[in-house]
Amino acid sequence: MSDVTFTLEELEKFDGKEGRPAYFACEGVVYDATNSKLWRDGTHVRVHQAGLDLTADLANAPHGLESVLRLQVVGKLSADALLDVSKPPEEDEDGGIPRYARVLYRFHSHPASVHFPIALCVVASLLHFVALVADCPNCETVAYWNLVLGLLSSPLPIFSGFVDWIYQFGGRPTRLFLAKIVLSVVFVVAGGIILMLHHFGGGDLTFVYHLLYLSFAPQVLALGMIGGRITFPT
Amino acid sequence: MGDTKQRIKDIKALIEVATIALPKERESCRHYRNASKNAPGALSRRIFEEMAEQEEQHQRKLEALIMLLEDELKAIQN
Repeated sequence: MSDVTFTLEELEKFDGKEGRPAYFACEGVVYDATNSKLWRDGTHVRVHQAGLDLTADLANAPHGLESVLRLQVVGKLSADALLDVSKPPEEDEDGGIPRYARVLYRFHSHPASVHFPIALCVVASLLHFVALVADCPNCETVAYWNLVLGLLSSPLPIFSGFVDWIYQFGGRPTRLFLAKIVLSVVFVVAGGIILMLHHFGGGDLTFVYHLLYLSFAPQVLALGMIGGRITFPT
Repeated sequence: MGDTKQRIKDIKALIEVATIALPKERESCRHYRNASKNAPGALSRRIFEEMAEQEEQHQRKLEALIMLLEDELKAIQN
């Protein structure tokens, strides 16, 4: 091992930025990660920063010490530095998540509210179908009010779902989340068009009106199914 | 070309698996940590704390995994 001893202040200078070497310490030994392909500009997997003691980070890494041992040893940490880093790091348990987002998540706002628009809109679609087939004006009235209530109950699940996606799932645009977002937009737009056509007359668009009305059930069921795949992955 | 498309699809699917798992680990960690505070004895408290630590490790591993996969995805797409 090299005889060079680093204090924490000295180690910080080797942060891998602006062409400086990227050194980090692990279990008292200082390693050189400058030429490692797994380090870029002094950062490993965009989390671990060169110039620091990363002993605690290694305990939670998906790899063991063997990956670190492949790197060149450039020195060791001073005794003072070892004593200093032995303190456990203070952690922010909520990771900077805003209070309103934490409240929405803690009260399970999304799963608690999402069943209302699903149930109401499925009933609206089914009753509209019955009204069309059986020529039943009462069914049409009940279908309409189910649809209105379904739309009125949708802002909370849409908003809380979006907030959960941003803060709990990191806002990553994966296939399932994108599908949910697109379907939610389609749901709101379709609902708005149905209400407009209902109040201002379908005219030549009667076919579109019925089609959108009947499509509400599969739309909300698809949204629920995607939600189920996120909550209960198989 | 077909292999690259399939590889991209596979990586995206893995990112989704890890993304969906992440809040569950976080929630489990909080759940066990709260339980450890209310545990009646030293042994049960220690077991809950150990379980919370395991969940925390899973959470960090998933975060690291997502970043590795996203880096790999970027490397393939560029």
